[in-house]
Amino acid sequence: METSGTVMLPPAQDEKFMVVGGGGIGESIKSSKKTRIIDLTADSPHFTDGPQLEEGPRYPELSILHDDTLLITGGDQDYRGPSAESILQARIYDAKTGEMRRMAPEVGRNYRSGSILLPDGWVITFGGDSLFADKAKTKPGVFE
Amino acid sequence: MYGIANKLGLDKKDFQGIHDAYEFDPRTEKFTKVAPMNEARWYPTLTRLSDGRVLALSGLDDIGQVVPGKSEIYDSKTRTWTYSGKVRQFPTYPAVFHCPTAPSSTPAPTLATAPTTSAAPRASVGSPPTSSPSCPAWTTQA
Repeated sequence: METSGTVMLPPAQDEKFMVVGGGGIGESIKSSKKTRIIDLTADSPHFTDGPQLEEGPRYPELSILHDDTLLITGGDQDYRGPSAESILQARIYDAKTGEMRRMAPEVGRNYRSGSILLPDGWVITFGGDSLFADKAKTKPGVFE
Repeated sequence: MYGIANKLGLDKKDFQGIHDAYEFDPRTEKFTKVAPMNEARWYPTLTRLSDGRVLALSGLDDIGQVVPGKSEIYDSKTRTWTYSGKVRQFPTYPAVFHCPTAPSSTPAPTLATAPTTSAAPRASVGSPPTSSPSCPAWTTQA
């Protein structure tokens, strides 16, 4: 569950939680495509597999939308988003049906970025930058 | 020309948590410093309780070790932090939620957590615990 995302699924009264993605501990190239769901109102709560993702996101952004669906965006397949492993996919999960569908936008957000549902229904995603993806800034400098 | 700088790299640094706490006012977009936390915490998990208080858990202390289980609660009326009185060690970055049916006035709120294992050395404390209103004790879920 390292670097995974966790969200209380709507409606909150159902007390269902989803864990999305994550990866190995520390410097690890492992990342998980899984989603896992737990129902705390069950007699003996336990995690079960939810729909699988195509690429395993660390640091996924999870936003609950106005229609009680969950928007999953961004994330990175490597620890701390070192270069260009940003996940350019977005999905919507519907807790009522248990189904997930791919959305069009390609948003590259990786290490510890965020997303928030705005009052007018738009979602803002922000932050995140690969440590070494920007080649212009990683070239050794030349002193004159 | 001559210069000295710390080595740049991906190596883990010795994290140093600090005690500082601020309130943010979205209208004025200003931060106001409030009373410091009892514990220094790098990356604490903050959870808003239903009565408006805020619970601080986990984080790395001023020498980079995971805070050993002491949690504290911020009260915006007094702008001070008080230990919750409950001690339970969480790994770094626990994801913590206030259970919808939990009573709000108790000093130790009912929480559900799905913590990550630790990103910091020697910080892992075992399996993720979960507590539900119908099951007030902390239990580990598969």
